[in-house]
Amino acid sequence: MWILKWLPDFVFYLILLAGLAGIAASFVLKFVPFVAQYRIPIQWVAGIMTAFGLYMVGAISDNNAWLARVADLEKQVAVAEAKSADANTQLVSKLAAKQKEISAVQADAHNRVQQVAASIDAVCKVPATVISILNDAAGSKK
Amino acid sequence: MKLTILLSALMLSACVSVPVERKFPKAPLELQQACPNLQTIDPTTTKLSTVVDTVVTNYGQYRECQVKTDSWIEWYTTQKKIFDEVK
Repeated sequence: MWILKWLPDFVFYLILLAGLAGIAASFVLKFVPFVAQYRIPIQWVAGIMTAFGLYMVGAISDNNAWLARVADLEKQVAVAEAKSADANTQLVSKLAAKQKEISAVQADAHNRVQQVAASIDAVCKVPATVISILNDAAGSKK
Repeated sequence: MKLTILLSALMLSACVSVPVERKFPKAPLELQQACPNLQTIDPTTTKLSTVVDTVVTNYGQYRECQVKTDSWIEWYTTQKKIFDEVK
């Protein structure tokens, strides 16, 4: 609430107190000539001040509740961001381990192919059609 | 008229904006790389070993992409759970 940023909270409490005091004075201090003479205007002004003061005290309470909620949310967001970063780190380590494992399997398979290359090449000659089919299946139609 | 102005001012004074900003979680850079195309075989070759070698390489590429896809699923599930915890 913008008005709460401009004025300190105690101003609104003072307005409320002044309003309540004005209402009380208008009823209790009838014997004072000034109060007796301006009783109705005093009641009006004090009533407006009380209403405004009550409204603003409610607003202060609401504002404080929102500020507390914001602070709580900010704390939760910070925790969530830390958790998120931690989860990412764990995921990256897991991914790296799996990629290492895949590379090892690949290297082993390539080695085994190299070892038997001569023998399998001797028993089988791959026709160009087969290579064309495989290349097409791999997504290259050139 | 004066009452309307006063009421409007009071109502406008209650407008608030919640200043909590939530950033979209960052995905690891390792996951943000596209899967490479499958390797093709030299069309002039007749060697079975070359064919098998290429097939092995492509299997490896598939496995890497599978792991990446699984990681994306895990990333989304974990991050959504973390996101939903903030209330």
